[in-house]
Amino acid sequence: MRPLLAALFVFLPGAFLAAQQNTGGAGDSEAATGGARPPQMNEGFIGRDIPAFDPGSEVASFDGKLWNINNNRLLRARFEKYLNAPAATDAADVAYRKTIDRILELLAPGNATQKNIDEAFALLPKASDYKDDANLCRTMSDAIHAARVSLETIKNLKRENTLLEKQRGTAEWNNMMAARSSALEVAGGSDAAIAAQQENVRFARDAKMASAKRILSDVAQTIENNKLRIALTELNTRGHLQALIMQYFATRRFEHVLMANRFYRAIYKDGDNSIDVYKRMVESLPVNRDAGQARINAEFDPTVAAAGGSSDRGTGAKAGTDGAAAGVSNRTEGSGGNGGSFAARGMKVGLENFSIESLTGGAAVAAQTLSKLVSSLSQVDSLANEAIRDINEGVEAYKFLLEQGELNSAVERLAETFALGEFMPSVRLLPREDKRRALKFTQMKNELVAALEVNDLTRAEKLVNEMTDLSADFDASKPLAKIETAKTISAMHLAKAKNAAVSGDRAAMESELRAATEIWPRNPALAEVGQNIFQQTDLQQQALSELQRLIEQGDHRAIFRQNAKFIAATALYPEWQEKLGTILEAMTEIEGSLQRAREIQQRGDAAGAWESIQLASVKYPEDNEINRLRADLASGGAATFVQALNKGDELEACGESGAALAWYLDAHRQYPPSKFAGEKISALAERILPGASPAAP
Amino acid sequence: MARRARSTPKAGIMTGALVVALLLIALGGYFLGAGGTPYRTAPEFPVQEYLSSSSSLRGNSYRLTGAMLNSIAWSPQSGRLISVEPTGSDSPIPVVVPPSLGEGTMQKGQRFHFLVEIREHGIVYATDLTKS
Amino acid sequence: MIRTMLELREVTVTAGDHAEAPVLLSEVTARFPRGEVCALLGPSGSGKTTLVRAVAGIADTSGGSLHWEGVDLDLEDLPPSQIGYVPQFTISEENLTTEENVVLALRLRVAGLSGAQLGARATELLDLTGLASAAQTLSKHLSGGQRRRLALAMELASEPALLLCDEVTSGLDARSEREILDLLRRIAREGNRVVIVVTHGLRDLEAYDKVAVLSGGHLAYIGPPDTLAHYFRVDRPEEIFERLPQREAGEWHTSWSKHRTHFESRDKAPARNAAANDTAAAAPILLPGAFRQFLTLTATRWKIFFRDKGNIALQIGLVLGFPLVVAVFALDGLPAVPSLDAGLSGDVVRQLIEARTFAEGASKAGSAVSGLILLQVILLGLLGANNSAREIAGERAIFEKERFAGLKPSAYVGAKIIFLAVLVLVQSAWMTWFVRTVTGFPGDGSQQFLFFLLVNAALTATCLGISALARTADQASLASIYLVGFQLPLSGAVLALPAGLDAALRPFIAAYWSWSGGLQSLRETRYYDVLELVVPTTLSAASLCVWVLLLHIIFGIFIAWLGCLRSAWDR
Repeated sequence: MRPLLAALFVFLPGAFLAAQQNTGGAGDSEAATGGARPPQMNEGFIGRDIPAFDPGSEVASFDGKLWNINNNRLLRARFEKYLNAPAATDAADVAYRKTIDRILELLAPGNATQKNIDEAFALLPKASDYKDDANLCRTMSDAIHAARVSLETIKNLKRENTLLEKQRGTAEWNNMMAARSSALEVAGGSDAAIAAQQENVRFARDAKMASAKRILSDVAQTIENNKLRIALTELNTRGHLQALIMQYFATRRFEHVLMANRFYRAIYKDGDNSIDVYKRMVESLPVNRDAGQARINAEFDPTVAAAGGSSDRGTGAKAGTDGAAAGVSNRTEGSGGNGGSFAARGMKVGLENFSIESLTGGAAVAAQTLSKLVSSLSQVDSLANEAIRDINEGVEAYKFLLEQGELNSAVERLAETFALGEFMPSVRLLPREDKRRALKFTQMKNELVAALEVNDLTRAEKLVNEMTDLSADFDASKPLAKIETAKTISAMHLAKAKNAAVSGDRAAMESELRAATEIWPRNPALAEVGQNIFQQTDLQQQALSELQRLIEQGDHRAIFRQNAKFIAATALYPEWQEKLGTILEAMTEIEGSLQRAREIQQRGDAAGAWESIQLASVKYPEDNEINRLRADLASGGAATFVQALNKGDELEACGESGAALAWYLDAHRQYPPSKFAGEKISALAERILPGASPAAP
Repeated sequence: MARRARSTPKAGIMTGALVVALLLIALGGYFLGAGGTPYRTAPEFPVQEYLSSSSSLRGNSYRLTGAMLNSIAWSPQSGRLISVEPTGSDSPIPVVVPPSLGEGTMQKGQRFHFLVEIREHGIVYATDLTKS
Repeated sequence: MIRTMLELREVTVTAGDHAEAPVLLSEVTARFPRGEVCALLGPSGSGKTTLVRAVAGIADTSGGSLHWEGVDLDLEDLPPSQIGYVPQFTISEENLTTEENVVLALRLRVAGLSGAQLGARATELLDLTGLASAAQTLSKHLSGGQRRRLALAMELASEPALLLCDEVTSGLDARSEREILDLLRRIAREGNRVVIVVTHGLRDLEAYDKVAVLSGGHLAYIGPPDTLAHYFRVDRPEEIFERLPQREAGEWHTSWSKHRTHFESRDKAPARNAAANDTAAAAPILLPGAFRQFLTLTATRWKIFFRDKGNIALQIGLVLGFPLVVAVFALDGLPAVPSLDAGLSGDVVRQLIEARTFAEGASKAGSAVSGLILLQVILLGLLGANNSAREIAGERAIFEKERFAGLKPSAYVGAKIIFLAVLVLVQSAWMTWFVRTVTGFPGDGSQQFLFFLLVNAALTATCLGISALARTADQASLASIYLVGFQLPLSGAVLALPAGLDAALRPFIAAYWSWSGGLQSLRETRYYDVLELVVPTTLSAASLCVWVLLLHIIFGIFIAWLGCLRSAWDR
């Protein structure tokens, strides 16, 4: 960066420190801004309504926002648009260029004869016809015309004031005389009488002086009014022209700065190219956030009387438009304005629409700040010239870097140059082919910025790799580092989330997940983990409530079936574990019995199966499966066996031992290993043949 | 017809002889086959009735034919309690065989004709038996 | 008219009843006076034998009639004693002497003779037939001629008025032939008999009183031998057989019809017949009663039996050998029958093992017992078949001859029964006793004996019946063997028969009934209990078995009797 531009824009941070408002914004995260201060801190219009560049952080301020030259969305968009556009080589552009060049030539130092000036003046409206001019030349032409006309007015007013000065001198002498002649003689007497006598004398004197005073005051008033009028006229014209020049400068219309400057010098031949008037005006401005074309607006309201001759500091004045009245302190330095309280009592001054493009107003402080930095028009002139040079050099540098393949630097350079000299012919005439490569790279850069903005690290990484391939000097380390860091952090958060989930700390888990999401929203692992975790905890809770429900319902079988799930769910709840344990034990036994019985059944031994399950059913009469199997067997394969036993029981109860024994024998025949049948037979045998031994001898 | 050739036995004799023979066969077959059952005069033991309710059969004598299945209990005074599988039925019938009937030599699987009596509590007592 | 004679009038014999049946004899008209020997000549198939059979009453006449002394034989036949028939091949008991044969014949055909009378008559006959010298010779040792004489002697036992001889001289040398012919003439003359001799021989035709020539069933000539050649326009009688075919038989018949009267007029026979008329027809001989015949036959049968050394040896061999065969299977006695634990047990596995062991042991014991019984049954059945298979069929010719001569079939069969019954008894008793003793066979011995006896008797009777029905002894033997052979498989003792077959066949399988009854003898033993395991078919009650076997016996005897009633005179 050129030191001049650096110097030019170095004031910005300091100024912005003065009035700070941090409103933050999406594009203003530290990552996006690279650590620069948010632009909303900028009170001034520069950097707010007018793009301003902070070289230290490569941050430009525009539209009230801090934009990294290479970050700012709007700037990026404009830059891309510029890169996409063809060189401004169509007829209108060429004609406009020619007109401007001609004007500048006519006004060139040493060449600015009256004739040339007039000719140049005549060209202004023509130049204004072209779109590229954005009506700036017309404004300029109006201001110049007004300035010329005002010269005469001011001359007359000054002559009148000289006469009035003389008159005032006379009046003052008369006044003095009157005052001296009426010296107070006091006869003696008492104090009160003396006082009364003095009083009378005084009164008579005052009366004499009053008329002289009145005349004096009138004259003074008129002189003052005239002075006001002069100032006002000057303001309207000279100040306006100065302001225009400053405005041109601020909006980077450096050619217009030169032109206006030359016109100014041609008009105001007094050699005074200070911008005092501008300064004074600016310093009295309140903050105003009006949008639109800036215009100095002043109203002269004679009803507002001037205060008495003290030098005023801090008199409030209302802004010209919707003003938020604020105290304005006069901080003119080294201005000679001790008497003229310029601070406009009785004068409404405002700034409205102070911009060429979409300014959002409130440029008062910015204007003030600018006025502090620049002290003379010639300084502005030389700054403009320098800017133009810088721009031209920037374009050359871009071309050179492009040839070298250092795309990153080339684009950066071009961006800077564009930011500064958007309207300059060298920039505008840059051929499209030259811009194309920059465009592509720029687009990628913009995409990268966008990806990083939304933390789409995957895409950002991809872009970084591509850009590294494209440009020899693209420093991927920083974005990559950012990407990697973000990824790592996201992964760490995920891991923490998982741990939290496992340990049951739902809150921590959720916060970690959120953190991970924020850092890298499109992390593929995120969805998976998140789902699992949420499922996990959800499942655990569900399992527990289901377990409770099943216990209440007494559906132990369902519990048994899903025992693994419930065991896991109750891992951290000892009292549940105990309950579950008891249930599972019982169910295991029941299932074991069922299994045994079914196995026996499968061997074709339905009766045996029935006996087996019958024993189990005594212990667990409530179990449905046991009862069902028992019933199945009793009605199926073991039907006759069970029937035999039942019949035997029946008859035995009626006392018919013989027939009962016959049924038991039948049951025994069907299923010899039957314990039930065997026992009953033995019992009955004992009854029928008491004392008999069981088996055959 | 030749004179000597005519000396075949008269058809009448033949037919008569045939008829007589058939009769003899039939009768003999019947009496010897079916009529040779011991205790023929006693009614057959009503197995199904006994199994549903023996109270109505109490005091009656029946003929029970079957094979000895098991020896359930034995005492030298009271005899033997055996189970008999009646012919044509699966259901074993418990029968008490007193010592006087030679229960000692009874073997599993032996077929007998029992003459039984149904006594108290529906218990079946054998009053006579022959090997089947 | 001469009435003492045999007269044939238009006798026609066809082989069978249907229309196209071949005509064996066609309208034969002839007279055979008493006291004459008539030769019946003709080529083979000319109807000679048929004529003789028609005269004898054996062949069925389909037309014409026969008369004896004016009586139509269809209306009143000659009593058996009045017709004698001497077949071509002598039928006599080989193992009897000549005298015994004659005595037998006398005994069977002549009632009311005492022992001495019998002996005297026998001597008479032997003298008559010139067999006195060979009286004690076994008939199997006689020469051909002697045999023919024997045959004649036997036929003459009942002093028949009509004697039919079928080729009685063929196969003999000339001298013997001559002798026979002389004998025949003497028989004819002395007895005033009609003697018709079927002959092939043409040498001694003049010895005959008459010669009848048949050709193709037609009577071509009947008359004295001397006009024979003339009639046939041959030089010598021997040439007649060449001559005969030269004309159709019918033509001969027609021709004879024309000429007969002429030739008959020249018949010298009437003289002889007239003379014979005086001799009053002796009172017909009475046949002995059936019982007498039965006794005679029984005695004779035993005599024959003991004479047949070979047969005796065979019998002894069988009787002794078969029980040995049985005993060999159980020399060490029978396996014992295991017991089953009758207790109630839930230990199914042990019960199963026990049951299996029991089954094995029981099966062994049961099979042993059942097998032994069955073996005895089969062997006794075989003995039975052997007893009677050839009994009737083997001497059918003799029987037929005797039956022709008046033997009652019932007597005959009865004699057979008695004879066989003794055999059956001895065989069965020995078998039962021997096996029981050697093997210690359990059970009721008397019941076993009964059933063995019955099966032997049943098969004996059945085979006797077969023997009576069979055409030849070999046929009878074969059938009997088959019968016995099928006893074993169809008994159901080895394999159970399919149900329907079982019911259909069982009544006829004596082996089953005997085996079943025999097993019943084991009722009181353990063996009976295990039989169920082994025996594939159900046993029948002993009484039923007895009944069925008795029926077999009765049926067999009945068939035998029927078979004897049937005429088997096929010779």
